[in-house]
Amino acid sequence: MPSLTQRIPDLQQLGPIVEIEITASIPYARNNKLNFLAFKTLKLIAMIDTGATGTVIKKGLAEQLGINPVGSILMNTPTSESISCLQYNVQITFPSNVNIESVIVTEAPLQGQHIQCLIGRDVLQHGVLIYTGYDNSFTLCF
Amino acid sequence: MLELEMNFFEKKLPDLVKSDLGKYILIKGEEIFGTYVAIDDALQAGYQKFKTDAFFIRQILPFQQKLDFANNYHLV
Repeated sequence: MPSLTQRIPDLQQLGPIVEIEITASIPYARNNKLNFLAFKTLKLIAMIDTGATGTVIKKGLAEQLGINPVGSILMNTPTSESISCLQYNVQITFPSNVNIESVIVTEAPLQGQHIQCLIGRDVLQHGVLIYTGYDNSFTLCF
Repeated sequence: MLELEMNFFEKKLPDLVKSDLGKYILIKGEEIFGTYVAIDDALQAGYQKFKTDAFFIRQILPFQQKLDFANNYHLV
């Protein structure tokens, strides 16, 4: 089972963050007969968020990837309820080459500069998350 | 973007719940291009039909689907 373990200096303060890469999904490339080397890959800081039903990326990132939406969904935020957000099909690569070929992510305005992605329960449902607080580490297995 | 498709989906939802509950629907404009058991099949059909253009996929459920956060302090 592919897995990654991250040790964060202050896990309680910073949360379970991890550097990931996102790019166009494997189905997108395969069905459009496109070469993966032609796709832009973005490195992001992501937080594992067990409170999020779905995975979110910061607004503007999909445009940088050059991909179009495959859906939209309503989302509640503190400032406005039920705003419509676009959804995109991407591939997510975690450290240690833990790779998810096809994920539907929602683009939304994320506050702050240090987090550009929330990994939600749509991704976590496929794996095992171990949060070892006393060791300032967490492990994610798929 | 995709507002036309979302409004069309909402309009058709009562009938779709009766005929295709739980399946994934593929919509472009105001036209339904198919319903699929798996989301991967809906995506594949969308890419084959519309290439890199935008299209709309949504699971057919009898309630409005929303993205929720237990801690939404990081959302503007």
